[in-house]
Amino acid sequence: MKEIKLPADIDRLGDLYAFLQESIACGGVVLPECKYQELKQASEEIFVNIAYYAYTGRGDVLVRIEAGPTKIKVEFHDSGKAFDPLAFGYGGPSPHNPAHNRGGQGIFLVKELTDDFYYTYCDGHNKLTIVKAV
Amino acid sequence: MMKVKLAKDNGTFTFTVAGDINTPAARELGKELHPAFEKAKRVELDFSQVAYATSELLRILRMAQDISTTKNVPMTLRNVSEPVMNMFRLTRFDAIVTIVP
Repeated sequence: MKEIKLPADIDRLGDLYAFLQESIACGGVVLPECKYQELKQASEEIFVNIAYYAYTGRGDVLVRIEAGPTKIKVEFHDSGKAFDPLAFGYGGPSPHNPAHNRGGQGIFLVKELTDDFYYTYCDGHNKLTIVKAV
Repeated sequence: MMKVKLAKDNGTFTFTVAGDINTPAARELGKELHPAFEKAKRVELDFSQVAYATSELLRILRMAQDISTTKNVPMTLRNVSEPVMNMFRLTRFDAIVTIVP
């Protein structure tokens, strides 16, 4: 398992992408481009959510990646306020109610783009894990 | 890196976007796109050269759609690539905007 600690700042997205690529390559995993793009997007959605909402001031995100032959697991740890993304739903807009439920699109997409997604909160730390099958 | 080219033709403002639209890039696109509704008669966005986008793009496009409705300036999305179209379908965004091949 590889890990990196980054400031929770969207200006550090480039570091997140690089770490994701490096971890997948080090694991010897050959991930189809479409699956890589989905994992990249899911990772970005979570990282951005933490950057926007977890901290009132500055804070960090610890990212851990385990790239194996059948799946890639990415963990996001932060010590910001407790937030369970699985507790929120997303209804989506419709032509009759286009303004409906504008929030939660990013988390909804994470659920759709990954094969597993779970959350724990322990000792003041959020831990979000996503899993993408190879 | 995202690049945006704007062409104006008889009141139609066409934004041709190329590259990945990650979160910061979507915000930059919003800064160029939203003021265009003040002067345009029609706004078109060409996404043929965009293969990656995140939910921030949905957010700025939904804001653009609101402005489009308020100002009565039609907005059309063209040549949306399959990965981006997939995001539009999943979030049902395709139900509230005009998307043409």
